[in-house]
Amino acid sequence: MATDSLKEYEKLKKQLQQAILKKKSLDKQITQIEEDIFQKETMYLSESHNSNIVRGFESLNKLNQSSNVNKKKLVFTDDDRVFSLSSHTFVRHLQKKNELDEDDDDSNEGTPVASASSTTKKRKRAEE
Amino acid sequence: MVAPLPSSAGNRFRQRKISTKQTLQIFKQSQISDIDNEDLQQRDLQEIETGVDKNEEEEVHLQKILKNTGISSTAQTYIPTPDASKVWTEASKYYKGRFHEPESYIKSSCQTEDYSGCLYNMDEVDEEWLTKYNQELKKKEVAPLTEDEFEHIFYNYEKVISDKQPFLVTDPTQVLPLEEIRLYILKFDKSSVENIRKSLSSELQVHPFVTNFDAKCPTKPRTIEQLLEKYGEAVYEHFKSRKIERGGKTVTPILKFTGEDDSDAYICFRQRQFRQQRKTRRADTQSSEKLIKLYQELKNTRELVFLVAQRELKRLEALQNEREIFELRCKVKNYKRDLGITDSDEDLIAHKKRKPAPPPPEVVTEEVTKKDKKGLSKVGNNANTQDKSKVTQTATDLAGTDSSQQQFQPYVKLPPSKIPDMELETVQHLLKSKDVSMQRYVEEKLRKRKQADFGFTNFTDDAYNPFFDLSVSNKNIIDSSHTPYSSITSSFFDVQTLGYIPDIEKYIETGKNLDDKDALEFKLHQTTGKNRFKKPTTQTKFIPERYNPLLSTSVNTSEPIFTLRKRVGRYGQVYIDRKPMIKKPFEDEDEVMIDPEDYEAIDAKERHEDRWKYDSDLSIMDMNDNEPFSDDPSKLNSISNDTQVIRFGGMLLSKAYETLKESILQQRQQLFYQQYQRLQAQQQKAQQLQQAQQAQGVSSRQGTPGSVNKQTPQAQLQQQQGRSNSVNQSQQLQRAQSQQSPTPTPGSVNSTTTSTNNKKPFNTNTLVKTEN
Repeated sequence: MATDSLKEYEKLKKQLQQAILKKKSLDKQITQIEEDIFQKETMYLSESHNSNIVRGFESLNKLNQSSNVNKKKLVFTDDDRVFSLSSHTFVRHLQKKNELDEDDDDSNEGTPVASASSTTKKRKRAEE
Repeated sequence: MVAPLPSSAGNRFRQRKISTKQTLQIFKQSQISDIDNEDLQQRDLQEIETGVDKNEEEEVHLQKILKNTGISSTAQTYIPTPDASKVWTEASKYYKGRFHEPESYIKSSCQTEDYSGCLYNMDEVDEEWLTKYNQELKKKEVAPLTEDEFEHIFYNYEKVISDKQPFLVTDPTQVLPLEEIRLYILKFDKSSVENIRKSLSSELQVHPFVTNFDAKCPTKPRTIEQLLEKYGEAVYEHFKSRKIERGGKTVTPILKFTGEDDSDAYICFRQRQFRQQRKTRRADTQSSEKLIKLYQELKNTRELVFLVAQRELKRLEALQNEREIFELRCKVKNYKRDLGITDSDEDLIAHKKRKPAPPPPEVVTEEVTKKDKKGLSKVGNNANTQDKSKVTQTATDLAGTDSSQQQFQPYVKLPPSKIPDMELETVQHLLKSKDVSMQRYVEEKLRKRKQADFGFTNFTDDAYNPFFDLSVSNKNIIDSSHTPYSSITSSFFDVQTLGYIPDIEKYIETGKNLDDKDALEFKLHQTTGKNRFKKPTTQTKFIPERYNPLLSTSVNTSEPIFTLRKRVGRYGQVYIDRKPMIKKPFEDEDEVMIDPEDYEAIDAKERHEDRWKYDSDLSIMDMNDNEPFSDDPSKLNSISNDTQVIRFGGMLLSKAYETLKESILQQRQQLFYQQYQRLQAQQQKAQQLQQAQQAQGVSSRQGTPGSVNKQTPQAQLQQQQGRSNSVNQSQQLQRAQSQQSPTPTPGSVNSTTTSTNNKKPFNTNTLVKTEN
């Protein structure tokens, strides 16, 4: 009886470890996808001139479209990021990153952080 | 009337607005018969709304009907429908060719709802059949076929037939056999619109694929494969019979879409579409560019949305995984309790995200590798954040920096409605209270200091109140009336220190403290001891100056105590002038007793006064008769009193002079008038005399009547002038005076009168003066 339950215990424990490992990999994947979405979205939004899926395609209907093409690029804000910001974990992630950026501005510590923060800064600038 | 005709015979009549710019032909009644009858007729024709496009109005039957309107009854006229009873069997002979639609071809413009769910809706025939069929199934104890499932199967059949047999109409009996249809159904066609869900479900690996557009079914519909296997045959039979019944057309009639065929007699009943505008090449390229752009946009969007969908699927998986972990933990815990295992297994603890700044990422990763087993759960739970941090190279210390974040109190600008209702202090009050508090503070300090110094006497100085003398400097102010405006005033005071405390030993011995009441004694005789004049020493009590800047009332400023001046007189005699406090000796007695005859006494007094000349009991302030700081109103423009007096006097003088001048003038004028009257009387007398003389000597003297004639009107004129204009009095006077002279010729008199006529009275006045 005791040995049976012990076996069962060991089995369960193994299962648990497996599940935890799976969870870890899943979280990794989700983070990867979120990053992908963010990058693709940034690219898409920055490339679109007058219209995109978020703002609508009304400008395509205009007759004098050729003159509009040369106009300034459509500036996009966080409100336009419907794809990446539809995930609450990613929103939280971004917030933390921004906080970190602010900390970095105060004290330039941690060299590995510098490169990442610079990219996010670029993003920020693009958003602005 | 000659105007361009508004409607030429060939053109269609168009109604225009009547404007003033457009000339219009006007027809008289007699001309009406001349008007082309057809013209009028056409006009009538066009008024009928045909309801078809312009180019279609020319259709033969329609034209016939239109022309006959009003002539014959419309009931008899109709548009004939083509005979559809015959089948043109040769059609397949002429209509051949194959066309494969590309995958990315935009095929239709159905609405989104049309793509959700089944496109076939069963009708009453189907319903009848289905109930019958289900009864049969019940007997066989097979699960019944639901309506949705039936529609699903039916639609798939219909679709395959419409795709593969578009010309089934030619021979409805040639419907594809079930096996073939099934083959096509099961074959995956990526391009088909209906397969979007299928392709997506296979791409995302979601089964079953349910969207928000799908109707919520209580039971999940079976897949087409299952359905075909179970009910395919029966439904196929029903489908085939219906298809043949319909003559190969779709079971549910659909609108005619291809209607551009002009020969089609039913052209009037096709689906209406907006006639497309003529396109230029530029417009063509533009729209194609737009389409390309749109396609790209949609492609990108699809990619993004697809990623989002993937993310959400992963999240779902993760959540399920988490639940699994939780359940496993519960089980493991139970076992542990039963078995009595007490080792600290970290797998069992659901770690909360650590709030304080965790160690740098390298350490964490090392931890993970080292204590693989132990750190697992920790890492597992924090994996989300940690992985992100790895990806972005930002360390895990991003977690929970909230506590270290500084809280800033931002400046909040309140709207006027939200400003709390509180009493506002005036600046004056605020300053006053500040002053009071400052004073209190100083006083408190002084009090404390005194307490601390109790028992000690400070003779060096008044420690609490450092005093110094403000004295009026010795400079003699000659004209004190200017002091209020002069900068000298500011340097009027000298600061003189006074630091002599006599009998200091007494204070020390008695241990008595110096205070305000016990004023310091200054024995002035010691200072004046050097003086030649042995005066009785005077002891004066001086209250040291208490300098209290905060209380204006209690300031006690001491005057200069004693000043000396060395003066060298005649023969090198040296005088010391003292002031103040020294009384001039013998002053009162001498004044009384002086004898005007006693030169010696006068001399002595002079000498004595000389000696005391610069000694004074009075301070400079007192000496000055005019107080420098008088309460008199300040003077206008800093003009000194004297100047003002002079000016005022000058003003008065000039005024007086003017009045004087005027009165003199008046007086003179009066005088002149009187004189003039007297003179006139004389003149008249003289004239009368002259006339008498002339009358007497007319016969004797000749050649003078002309002159007489001239003179009389002139005299009259002069008289008139004199009366009307008093200014001319002087002229009259002048004339009179000149007439008095021995040889006045009337002509010359006349000329002077006219010449002086324009002159001003002032000038005449002067003239008179000079003449006088």
